[in-house]
Amino acid sequence: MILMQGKGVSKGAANGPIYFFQRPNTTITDAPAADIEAEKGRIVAAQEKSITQLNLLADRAREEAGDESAMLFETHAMFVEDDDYVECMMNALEERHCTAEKAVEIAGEEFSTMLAAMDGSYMQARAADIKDVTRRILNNLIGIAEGGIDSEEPVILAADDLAPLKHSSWTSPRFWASSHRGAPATATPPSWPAPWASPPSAAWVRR
Amino acid sequence: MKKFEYVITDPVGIHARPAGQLAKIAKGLDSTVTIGKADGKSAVVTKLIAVMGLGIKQGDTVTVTVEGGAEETNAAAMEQFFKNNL
Repeated sequence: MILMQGKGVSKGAANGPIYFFQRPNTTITDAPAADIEAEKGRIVAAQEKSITQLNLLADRAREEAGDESAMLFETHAMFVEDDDYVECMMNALEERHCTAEKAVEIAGEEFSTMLAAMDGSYMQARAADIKDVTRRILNNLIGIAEGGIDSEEPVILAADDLAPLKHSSWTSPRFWASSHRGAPATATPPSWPAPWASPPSAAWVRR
Repeated sequence: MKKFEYVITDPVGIHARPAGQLAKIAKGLDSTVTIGKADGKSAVVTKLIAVMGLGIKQGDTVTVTVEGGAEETNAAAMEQFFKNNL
């Protein structure tokens, strides 16, 4: 038996599987990439994953709220594969020999700035859409599961830092449902106890 | 090459939703479809962000150019789309 101690976040007692969550390093640097072709491949894979996720969200929105709300996600999916946006990423890779993350960030910046510079609140909102889409592609590149954790059943969560995650959303039926229907598994729990030299500072029981 | 002119009637101009539908439809055609504004700026309609970047508003006259493939049929389909959606 392994006895583990941490700072309690939820009240009461619970049993169940334990889930280790470690926030991946999300700092994007200007460091040169070793293999530009490999970086291109990573972008393509992250795009495909983003489109799959968005189409899933669109289907769910259509079931729950009709075509009108599905259109937002469909539009985001179309942004993901927009020729100019993708070309901008690929050009950044070629010209700067940067990482896929940096290239995606550059393209997101360029296109959201372009739309934000246009008249009207409508275009400002589309600039925000581009930022959302860029964030989604980056999350898929870096390997952050949407909503923080990816489990089919309620878990006892152990993390080195829970603060950046939105606790309140974890118990909401909506989050629960979205986790159930599954963003693909990306945040693989590290094998115990290698990354945990010291006990996690927090634990959270998800009901 | 086939061309037609159209005056935008949609109050929001060419926004994401119809621009997205337009891109989707145009991708299925064997012609290159370009949309141009009176100020000379233009974009290939399959490029969603570029089309939105033109900032086409209600009352603007646009020129739609259909090149290559089944120009006649595709131009007619495009014209119908503009009438129904924009």
